[in-house]
Amino acid sequence: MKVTKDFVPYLNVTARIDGAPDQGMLKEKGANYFPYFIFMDKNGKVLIPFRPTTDKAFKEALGTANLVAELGGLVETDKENAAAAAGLKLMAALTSREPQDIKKLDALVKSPGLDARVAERYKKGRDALIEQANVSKINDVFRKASRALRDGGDEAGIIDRRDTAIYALYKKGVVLDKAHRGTFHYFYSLIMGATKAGDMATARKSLPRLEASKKALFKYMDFLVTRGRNIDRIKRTKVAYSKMVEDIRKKVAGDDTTK
Amino acid sequence: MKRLFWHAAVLMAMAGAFSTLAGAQRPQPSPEELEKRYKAKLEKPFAKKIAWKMTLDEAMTEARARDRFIVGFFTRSYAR
Repeated sequence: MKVTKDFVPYLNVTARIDGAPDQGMLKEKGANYFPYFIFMDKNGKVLIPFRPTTDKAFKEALGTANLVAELGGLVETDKENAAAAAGLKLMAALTSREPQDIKKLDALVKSPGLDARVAERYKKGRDALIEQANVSKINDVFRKASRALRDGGDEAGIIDRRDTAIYALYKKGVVLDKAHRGTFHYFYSLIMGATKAGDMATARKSLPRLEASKKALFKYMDFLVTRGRNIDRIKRTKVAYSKMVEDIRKKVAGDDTTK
Repeated sequence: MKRLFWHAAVLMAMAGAFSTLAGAQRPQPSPEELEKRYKAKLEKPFAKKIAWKMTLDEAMTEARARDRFIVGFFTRSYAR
């Protein structure tokens, strides 16, 4: 059994049984998802959440935790230390999963006396924060539409408004660029919205991303099938999604032939 | 087809959607099954290879004694 030298390892298993230790600790430490990894100080205060995907990522997270602890110590010693307080706020923003106000952070990073390591991290992480904020705004549109559907609203109208809203966000610069398994419906909706607005250039530009998203999503679905999950439903979904992509491809290509 | 699309659309807008769906549809395991799964989790290599503290109190006691950070790993055993 490995005894770690640099930190104390703490394992928390949510088991839903009597007698398992520290049940409910996950929520107490600010999360509602698994797996969840955090660095805490010796008093159990959360410094940062992190993802130990590689040794390098772990070492980086350890460095970040050290920096946060250091800044926290400075603020504790001197409550008037505005630079350290700004540094802490920026670090909290950089390690949070919540959407952030980039304008506020851009102002904060100009604080006099800000630790150069914080400024450097912000420079590196700013694009990811913007993407995170965009994802949040886009998800809000999907959630709103889903609530309206659950409430029994007119399906065609709700979908139409959703697509229009997604396209409106796109025009404002709230955009997702990278295609992955979670972006299938985003790109589908964007193409529909763009097509409706007569912006076929955006529709055409987004089509390869929709196809790449579909590929990634189907790969994930195939993985779920190997785990024996919702096999029939996944098969039906794949057929339906393939048809959606085929139809939209024809729609976009159809426009091409008319030009 | 639209209904199918929407069910999945809403779910896939969020990460890990299908596994959530799968979890919601399966019957809840019995207390005995939950106990079995918990014990099985603690037998997995990741749990055996490291000298984990199983309560935060224990972890804090050691962290204070050694002046170290605590790395918390939160997982679950109730779902497969």
